Amino acid sequence: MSSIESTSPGGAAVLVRPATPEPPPPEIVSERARIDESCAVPCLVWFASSLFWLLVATVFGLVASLKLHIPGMHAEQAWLTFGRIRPVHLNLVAYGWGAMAAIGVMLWLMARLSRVPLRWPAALVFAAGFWNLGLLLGTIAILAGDSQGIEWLEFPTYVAFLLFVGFAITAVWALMTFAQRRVEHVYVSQWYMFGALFWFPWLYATVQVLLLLVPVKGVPQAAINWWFGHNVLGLWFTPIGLATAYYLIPKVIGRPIYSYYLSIMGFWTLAAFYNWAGIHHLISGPVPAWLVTVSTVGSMMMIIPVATVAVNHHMTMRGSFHLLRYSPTLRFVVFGSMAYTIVSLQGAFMALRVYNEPFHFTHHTIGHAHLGVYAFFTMIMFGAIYYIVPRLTGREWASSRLIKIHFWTTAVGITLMFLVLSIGGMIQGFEMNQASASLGSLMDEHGFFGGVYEFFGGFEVQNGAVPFLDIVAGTIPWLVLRSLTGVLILVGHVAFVILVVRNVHAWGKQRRGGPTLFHELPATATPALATTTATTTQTPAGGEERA
Amino acid sequence: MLTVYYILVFTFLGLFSTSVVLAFWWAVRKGEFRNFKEQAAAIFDADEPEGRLTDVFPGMREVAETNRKGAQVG
Ligand code: HEM
Ligand code: HEM
Repeated sequence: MSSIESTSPGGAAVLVRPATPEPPPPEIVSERARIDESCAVPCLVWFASSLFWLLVATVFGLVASLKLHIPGMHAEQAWLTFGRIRPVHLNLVAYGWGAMAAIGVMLWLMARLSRVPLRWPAALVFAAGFWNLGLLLGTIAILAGDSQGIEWLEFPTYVAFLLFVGFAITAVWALMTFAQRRVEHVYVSQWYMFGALFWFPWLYATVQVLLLLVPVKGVPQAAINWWFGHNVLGLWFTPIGLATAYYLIPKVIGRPIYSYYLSIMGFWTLAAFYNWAGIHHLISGPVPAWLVTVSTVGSMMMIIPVATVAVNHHMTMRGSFHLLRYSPTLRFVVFGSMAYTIVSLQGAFMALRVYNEPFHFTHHTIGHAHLGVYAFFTMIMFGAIYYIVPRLTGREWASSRLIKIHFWTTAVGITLMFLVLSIGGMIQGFEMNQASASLGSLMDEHGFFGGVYEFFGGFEVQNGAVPFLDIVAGTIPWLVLRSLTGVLILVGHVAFVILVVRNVHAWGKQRRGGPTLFHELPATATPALATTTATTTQTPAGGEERA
Repeated sequence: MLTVYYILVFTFLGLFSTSVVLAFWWAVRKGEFRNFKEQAAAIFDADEPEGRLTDVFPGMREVAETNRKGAQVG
């Protein structure tokens, strides 16, 4: 049995071979195995669905991206126009991939932290059915031209109803699991999940009533739209991403959170400040100036919870960064946590008028969006799925190489996508608002560096100095590069889906010697989906073999 | 119509704020803001104690081999 003991000075986990491996108390192993077993079917259904939508959404994203630099592509097909493809991409990444992965992770985490199995898992499968039906109908509706035309809320009301039912069931289940908990204490991840479970229905119901059922008139529509759009990111995806990181980082490296006090403070300050920030999406829009100012202040206040998370995760990992080489989960989750700090600090500054005004209508914003929803949230969900699925199926991942392909294509892909969109968007913004001439023409005149200097140096506002069509043409190389990064990411997603399918179906050669299951499972607690007996035996080399 | 909105908005604002205050009060009473050290360690068990890595790439047996020779990982 390979075991990692805390022998380094900083308490960091290092791998050593124990002299005599002590057997774990059977009641603890069987308790965890029973919980995993109860989660197996519902969580795998939510994960499998999320991965299906991830692939579909990625293809839609890629097609949307291609259409921005090949505008004639499928232009004659109404259902393939950009105005329909883009909202399908957005809604499927948000409610298909993001929310379904989040709910799967949340159910497992809640059961594990409460130390009780999930009861009546069939109801959660039923809820996934509602959710999937909603996504299918919503996608067809948008492609058929029946979109609501409100960003983040394009699905028709009947779809919202289906999603709401699916969500209500999962929320009740998560809360029931918590109510039956066998531990008194509420771990910080549970606080974040409570927040998410409480806020999401509140947001979604409010916005459905105020924008779709009995719509308010005029400017408040935009304000409510962006109160929702921002909060669905900050009070639904963000808390679930952070809950996961707060569990997995310490759990994987075997070291408690550096400062539990900071983590709790981070939760309550997030709860206090995020809700104020939504109107920063409407800076310079036709809303009262004080409302924008309040949102800017709220955005800056967000630096407090963000700093608590950044300091805490960094200090927890200090001395353990070398473990990134060995744990797939850790790689994805630490990447995601770092992205959280970067995207949030960037966001706080984007909420300043001076930063926002030149870049709002550019690809720069799209760069920030992908840094948040992909580099932060999506990467953490990937890491969580790497941790959870083997424990549900009782099977090790089939291939290290595929995991590494998945990690590197997505990590490099999203980093490049962010850079390309940020730089391309910045040039676009300067050309639209401030530059005296286009970057290309200044480079022709002054050379590469001289041109860049003149371009960014000419800070006085010269609205309209560069013809709009030249600006559009200037974005094309950046958009082509974005499509290439999209291809890289798609390759990573395909690798991931192959891994999960092979794991769940036990296809192909099964790897022996899995590190993910450390101990012999009692015969009564074999994970439900394992077709082979998932017991582990010790090998002299310190590894494990599955018998 | 406007009155209905005002009533709705303020009722829900009230409910929302009250629930947050209640949650905070509950947390204080339950001692969630004490014994931080113990609370942070709540995710470890006797068989997955502090100091044990719980996730490794499949087939990283060679890591264990290295350690068998006395070298530390990293
Ligand atoms: C799971 C992964 C992904 C997530 C979570 C995601 C998320 C998002 C979000 C939130 C938006 C809306 C941005 C905004 O309105 O500011 C968006 C737009 C977009 N995404 Fe993605 N995305 C993902 C993958 C991709 C990929 C692989 C591509 C391919 C290149 C892509 C291309 C696009 C395009 C072209 C837009 C529209 C941008 C525009 O309107 O100018 N996305 N995505
Ligand atoms: C406290 C931290 C954050 C602040 C202050 C912030 C600020 C902003 C601002 C000002 C914009 C509007 C840009 C514009 O339209 O001109 C924006 C857009 C966006 N942010 Fe953030 N951000 C933060 C964190 C995050 C996180 C953590 C995520 C992802 C989970 C995220 C995802 C997005 C997305 C998807 C958009 C584009 C929305 C759309 O146009 O459809 N942000 N953010």
